[in-house]
Amino acid sequence: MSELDTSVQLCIFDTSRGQSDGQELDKILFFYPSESPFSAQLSLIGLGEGIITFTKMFSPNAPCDIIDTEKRSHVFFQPEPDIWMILVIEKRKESGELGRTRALQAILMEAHGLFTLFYGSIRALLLNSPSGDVARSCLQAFLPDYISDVMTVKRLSMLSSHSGLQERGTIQMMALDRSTALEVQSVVDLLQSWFGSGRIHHTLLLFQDLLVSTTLPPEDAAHLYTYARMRLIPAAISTSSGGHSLKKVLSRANSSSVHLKASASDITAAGQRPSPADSSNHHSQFFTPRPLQHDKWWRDNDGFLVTDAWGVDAQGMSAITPTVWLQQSSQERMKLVAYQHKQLTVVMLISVMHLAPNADGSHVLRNQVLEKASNKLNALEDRLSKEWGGINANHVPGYRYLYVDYDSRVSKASPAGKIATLTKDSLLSLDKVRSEIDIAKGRCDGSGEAQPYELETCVRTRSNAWVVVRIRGNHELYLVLERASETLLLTAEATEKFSRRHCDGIFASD
Amino acid sequence: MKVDVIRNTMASSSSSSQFVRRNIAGSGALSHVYIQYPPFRFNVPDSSRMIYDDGSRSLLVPSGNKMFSWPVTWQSHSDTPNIIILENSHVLTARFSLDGKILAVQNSDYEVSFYNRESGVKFKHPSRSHTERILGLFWTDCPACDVIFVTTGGLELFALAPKLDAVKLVDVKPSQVSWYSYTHESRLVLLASGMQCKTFLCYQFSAGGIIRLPKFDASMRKVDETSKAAALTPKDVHIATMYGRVYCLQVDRLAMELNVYRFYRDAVVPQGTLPIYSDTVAFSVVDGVLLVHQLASKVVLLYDIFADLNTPISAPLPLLIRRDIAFTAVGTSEDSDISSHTESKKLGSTESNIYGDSWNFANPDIILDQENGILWKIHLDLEALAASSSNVPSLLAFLQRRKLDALLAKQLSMTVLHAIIIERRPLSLISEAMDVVNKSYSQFLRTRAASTITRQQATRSQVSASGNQPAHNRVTVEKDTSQSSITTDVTPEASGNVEKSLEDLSLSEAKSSSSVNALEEGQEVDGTVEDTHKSMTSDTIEISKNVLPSIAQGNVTVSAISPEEMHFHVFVLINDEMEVEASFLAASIIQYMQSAVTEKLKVPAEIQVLLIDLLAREKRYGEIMHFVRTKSFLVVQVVDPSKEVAKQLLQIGKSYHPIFMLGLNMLRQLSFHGEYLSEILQQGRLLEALRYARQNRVEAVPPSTFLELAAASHDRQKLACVMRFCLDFVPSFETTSEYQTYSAVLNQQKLVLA
Repeated sequence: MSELDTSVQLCIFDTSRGQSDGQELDKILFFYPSESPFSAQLSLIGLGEGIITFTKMFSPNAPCDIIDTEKRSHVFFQPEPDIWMILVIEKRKESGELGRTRALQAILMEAHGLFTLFYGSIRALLLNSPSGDVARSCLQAFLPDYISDVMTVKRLSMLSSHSGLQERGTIQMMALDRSTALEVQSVVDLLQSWFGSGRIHHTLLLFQDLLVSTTLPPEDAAHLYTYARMRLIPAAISTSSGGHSLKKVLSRANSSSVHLKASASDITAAGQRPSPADSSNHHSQFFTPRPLQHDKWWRDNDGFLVTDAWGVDAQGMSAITPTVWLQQSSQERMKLVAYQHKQLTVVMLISVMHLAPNADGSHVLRNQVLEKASNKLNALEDRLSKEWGGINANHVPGYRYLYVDYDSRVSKASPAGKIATLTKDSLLSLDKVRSEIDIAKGRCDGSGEAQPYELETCVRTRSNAWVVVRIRGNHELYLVLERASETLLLTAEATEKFSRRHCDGIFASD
Repeated sequence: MKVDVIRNTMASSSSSSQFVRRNIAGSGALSHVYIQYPPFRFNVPDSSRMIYDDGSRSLLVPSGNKMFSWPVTWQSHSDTPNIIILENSHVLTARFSLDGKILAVQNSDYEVSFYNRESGVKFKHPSRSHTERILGLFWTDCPACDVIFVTTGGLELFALAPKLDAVKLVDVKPSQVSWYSYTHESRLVLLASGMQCKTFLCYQFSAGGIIRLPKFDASMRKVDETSKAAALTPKDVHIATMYGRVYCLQVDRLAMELNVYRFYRDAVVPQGTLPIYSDTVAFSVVDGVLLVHQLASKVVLLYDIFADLNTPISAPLPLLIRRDIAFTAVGTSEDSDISSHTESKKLGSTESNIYGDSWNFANPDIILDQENGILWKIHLDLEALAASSSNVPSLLAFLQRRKLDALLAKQLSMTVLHAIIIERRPLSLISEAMDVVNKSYSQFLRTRAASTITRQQATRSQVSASGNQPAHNRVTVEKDTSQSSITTDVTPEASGNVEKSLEDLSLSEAKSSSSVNALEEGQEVDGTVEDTHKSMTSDTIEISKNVLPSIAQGNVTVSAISPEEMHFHVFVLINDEMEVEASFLAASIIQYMQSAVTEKLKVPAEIQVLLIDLLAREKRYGEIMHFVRTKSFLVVQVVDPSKEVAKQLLQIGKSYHPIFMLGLNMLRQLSFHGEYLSEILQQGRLLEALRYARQNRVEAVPPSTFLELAAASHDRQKLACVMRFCLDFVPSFETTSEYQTYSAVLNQQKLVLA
């Protein structure tokens, strides 16, 4: 038996639970790796809780971000009241610095965001099922997939210093000219109108991995966009099973027998969470959807995406349509239907409330989309692919940049290939500057000042590159200029020019 | 036409809020076509028949040895007629010259008399030979000749002698002629020959010259091998001018079909067949719409050549006499013989006479009731048509093509648009409707632009267009000789009244619009073939400009709906009525904007403000932010940045801060410095405002504003800052009273602190 890999640990616990002695285990909602002995789990949580309680004395609103030790970093994140996530990462000699705390917290934030998208908030799960079994099984179904996704793609890719010019949890938009933008909007409206009001509540349109249009509010849009990028876009859907349609899904589902069937009916029957009475069962008996399970989405012959990650219906005839919870807009549960044509992915959300009980509106929707909308969507795909500027469309020669608008959760950055040309030194400097700024911002947030936070920094690195940061409220601009000869004055000028040309001058320093 | 004018003035005088509120159900009449009471009626004793001369647009009534004539302008029918004493009381036909000076009367098969109305000179012109009968005659504005006789032996072209006292034979176009058909509107004469009179030879005598069109045979379907089709008669063939294109309508009685041909310069192309439902049919063209009167069944069918020719645009309904009290009161004066009591009583008999045997249909939209001595003009009942049509896009397209009653058509179009949104019709339908409206408007803009460019430019571009014609069109755009023809054209037409040139303009607009098409879409067969008409169209534009410069500049009412009108008469109205939810109206506006942008029309800021407002009402802030993102970076730019939009964003931003920032950035981006400064000053961003003011050299905001704010903040440092700024950058600040005041304040604050 190989030794347990503890290079990455993630735990989620509820400080409001297990208050009395001997019930400490009740606090734990999730622990990764799950094989860890309870003693190790408890000691980590004990440490975390202690630190949180201690730091709260000084800073009640933002107790603790990170414990940095020689061997490990403990990153803290509080997604919901009393609920804490701690990510423990082992430092490795060769990888050097771990990167910004905020970037690590952003991973936790994203994980939690996606979790709530599919299951609702942890607190709500706990309220529905006070024993915590449902919450635990949901977390268990979701987080290991997520961790494996984030950690394995490129051995902690998010931890590399490249992330300095990336912002997790934001949306990358496709730049459109006005008439195309109007056409997109018009098609979206038509699409929504064809199914009567209230049937399609929201849509999210992606071209490749870029967002084209959405009717969702920023936060929900960001979550759904993240998911779509991970699992739904052409590059992410299962290619190995190209010819696969529902049949294969079903045959597989049937073969996996009673377990799936029983659990599937659970989900369909409820729509709400299983009642507390059910929760006395052992949690493995629930079928909990695994939205992030790999290779679980196929493109059906008619262009729709199907998955059996949510199980199949009681008769075993068809896969259950995935559902999501919108947090920001309506707190409503929506069915998720996705259609794909070449590079265009359309995610449609249908309100469950507006469907007749037990009716699966997706079939009607599918027929209607095929009948009426497919031509329009195909034409739109054509137009978009003509307009798409290629992977280097966002490249601005001479600049390596990141522009984030936290208001609408949109970011735009130099293409990854171009960022890779920066020297390690520049990136590390950028990372350091960003860490400093994160701390400064954190202080500013705490002070509760009404005025928008503004900041301008210009740093010269050891290798004579310039790192420029400008912040105007919720808009942030990070630039790396590797032109050694330039003076501070020239750099400031170049920044102004960039701001004028590409950011509507909002970062102008006047 | 009088009626139209009255209605226009009535409509435009009504308040703008009523502008769109036209009841689509309209008259509620059971017809789509009506003749307006009172008709034109004359009272000439012993009159045997009426002759309508479409060249001079006048009604001629021979009686004894007198010829009574009225100009048919629908305006002056109470006028006393012109009377010309004839030498020979036998009148076969008569026509005024195009300037109205000379009356030509055909007395017999072999003799034509000319009467000069002004000089009183009379002269006769006998037929050249006694073997050739004269079938008829017409005047022409063709430069080569003035009057043309149609004889059984062909066409004889005559020119007037300089003193207008004789005619001189210029040319002869020999061919065998059984009968002929001519309309002045098309300038086209159709000569029928052959056993069944089914071989047609056509000439066009336009201001551009004489064009001989290729011979063609009427197609007669053989219903039965044994039965032999009867020979065609003049009643079976009709030359119709629709939207400036010339068509030939030919009835095939045996097959009960109507064959439609279109005349091109060097080809006659069948356009299809229509069924007819009556043994005898008659045709009228009103505003480009073809009316096929099914005389036996006493109903009329309407066809629009731009719509599907196979299906009539309306159900078969009878022709109606409309008595509209309002119009009667305005339209006819007291002294008019028509409005007298006894006359209106008579109507009972004339009414029952609809489609009676005594009715003659004259080109294009005139009906002569020979028995009762009445002249009717046919009108389209647009309201009824709009009410009965269920296909919204084609109805809108139809309305947008109306030239005669453009204002009404526009109002109806807007009512239709209003209705489809209120009724929550499918968005795809709304989208189609918007496309129709915007296409029509952008075409109107292009036409207007085209009509203002100089003649030379037009000529040049036509040449280049002809160079681009694909060969398979077989149609070459011949350079018309209109330069020389203007003068000949102006003389007769300029004397026409305002009404006439108004109509001419609208007519020519239709034509020139199609010629613009020809320039832009060279490959389209439709567009390339306008030449038959081009010669005359451009001239009329010129004339109208001379006569009515204001009209030529675009004050003519057109049916096209501008984005502004769309906003005020459709969107705002719907918004005010609150009958449809905001999201649906917003979606409709998006459809409108999309089609407008496709047509490269500018969408007014008001519409965009309304859109943002609608979205904000449903708290769709995220979408607003996507829509509004300005310029190059994170772009999904649906809304144009403008001051109005920025103000709206600031307003909405009060409940959602990011949008406020968006509005602020927009103000700044558009360099509305004053507004921007006052906004950030309101937020208390004093020092930033100072920096901004200096950077952008804003001088509109006085120093006192800054100083007051600084003093009010009770921040000594801030006040000192502003003071320093003013000392540095405001010229001779030390001398102002503000300097005194605020340095005192500053000192005082210092003391307080101390």
